[in-house]
Amino acid sequence: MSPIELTIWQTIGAFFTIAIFSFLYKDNPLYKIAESIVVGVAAGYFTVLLFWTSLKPKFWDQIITHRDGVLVIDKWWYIIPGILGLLMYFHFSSKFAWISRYPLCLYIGIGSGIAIPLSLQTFVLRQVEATMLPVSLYPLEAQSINNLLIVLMVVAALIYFFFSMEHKGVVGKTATFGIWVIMVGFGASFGYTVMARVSLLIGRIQFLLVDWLHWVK
Amino acid sequence: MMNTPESTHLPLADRLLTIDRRFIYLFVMLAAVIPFMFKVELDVEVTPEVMSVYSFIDKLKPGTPILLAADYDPQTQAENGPQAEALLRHMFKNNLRVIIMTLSQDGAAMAEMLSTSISAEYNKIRGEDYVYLGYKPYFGIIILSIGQNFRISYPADFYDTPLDEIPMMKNIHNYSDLACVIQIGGGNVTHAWLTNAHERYKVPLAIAVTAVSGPQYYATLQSGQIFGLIGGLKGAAEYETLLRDEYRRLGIIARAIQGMNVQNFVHILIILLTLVGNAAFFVKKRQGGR
Repeated sequence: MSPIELTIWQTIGAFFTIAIFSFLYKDNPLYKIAESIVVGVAAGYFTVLLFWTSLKPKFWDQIITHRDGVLVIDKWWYIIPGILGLLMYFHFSSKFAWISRYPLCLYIGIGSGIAIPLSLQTFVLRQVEATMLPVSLYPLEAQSINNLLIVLMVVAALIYFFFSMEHKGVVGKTATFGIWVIMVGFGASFGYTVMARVSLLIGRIQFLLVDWLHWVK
Repeated sequence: MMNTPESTHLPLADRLLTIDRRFIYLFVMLAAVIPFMFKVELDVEVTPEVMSVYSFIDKLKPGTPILLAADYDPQTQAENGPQAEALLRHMFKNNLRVIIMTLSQDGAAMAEMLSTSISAEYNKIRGEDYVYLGYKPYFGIIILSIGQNFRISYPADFYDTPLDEIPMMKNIHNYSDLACVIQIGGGNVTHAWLTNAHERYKVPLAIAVTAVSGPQYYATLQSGQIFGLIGGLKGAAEYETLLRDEYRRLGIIARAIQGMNVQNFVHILIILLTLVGNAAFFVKKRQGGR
């Protein structure tokens, strides 16, 4: 990309950045134009990308291929998932919507079959395993204190969500400690969220001041 | 809430609690713009989770293949962009062979720009030193299929060169031929890399995620499912700190460090606004207001 082309594209980018930020003052036509263009471009871009990266190579080119300069039907059975995909569009008909459930069943069945065991292993079993830590405070080290805290906090947070017993006495006090633990977690997450949002603002200002205007080196 | 003529006669606490939110936007904007004008450099402390990614890459022998999944898009470019640039610079500096791919539909062009611009800094040759595979939809299935062979989902690279004709890919078939996977992004795609790549195929995995996604992945760090975690702009600034000499040699702005310097000022403002808002709330409460 030549420097002139780069400047033109950066100016377009700067215009849209300022147009979107103008919403902070109040809703206005400039913001609406920018928003509509973003939605339209994203939808068009994704449609074209999906066609060239999925539909053509994974469906069309598998069925019809060139052999010695002649078009031939190769893997005809790829038509079956193609038809199943088309059946999904019956969802838009109130009379024939039931037909769309068959491909959907297949899709959900395969998806669940892959996801359930792997998710259970990754986010439940491995996490439970990681919580089974030695809680002895002898010798007294930072790691042993950490281990004890992890075990206590996990148990307390779980007890807070245990509703088969009334939250009174020891159970009640542990559940209260559990709420505190959860609140600390929420606080940390919120802090990170603030940082993330500010980072996005800084990213745009960096683009305007450093890349576009070259005011800051 | 708007400042009305009546509100100007209200006590200070009431006026603070009814301040027009656009003033707050203005203060935040000023706090984010003004520090750019001054060269303020605050120290960035490197955390162990970022250090472990750096050490892992640093210990690999030249020529070792590594997979960089740049699964981010324009929405998170501000955070994931500097992370990706720093990681790729480190990999090229150490002469590793890098396979770059993306599973984000809006990230295909951005990942290509990343691979071409950073490879040009190090005079790396496409097909020999690095490969850009491009984007494929349905990330969960793609990640699983790479466990069998890259060629199932990616018969050719982004530029339509068949993988079998790319010299670098000659002996690379699946995860077992790679030193590790480093994923940049966050959200569902990161979940899929954890479940479908690490748990299914036991490939060593490190992640560079947005700050919003960061906290949820600390549990996977503690459980040993990932060997490193680079969180948000702060994580990127830490990585740039480790590569500071390299950035100086290349004469490139360390964007994350620059951004974090500004971030500190915005955070101070947010803390002040929180304190003032709470003080006004309690003053009003003591005066019997609600």
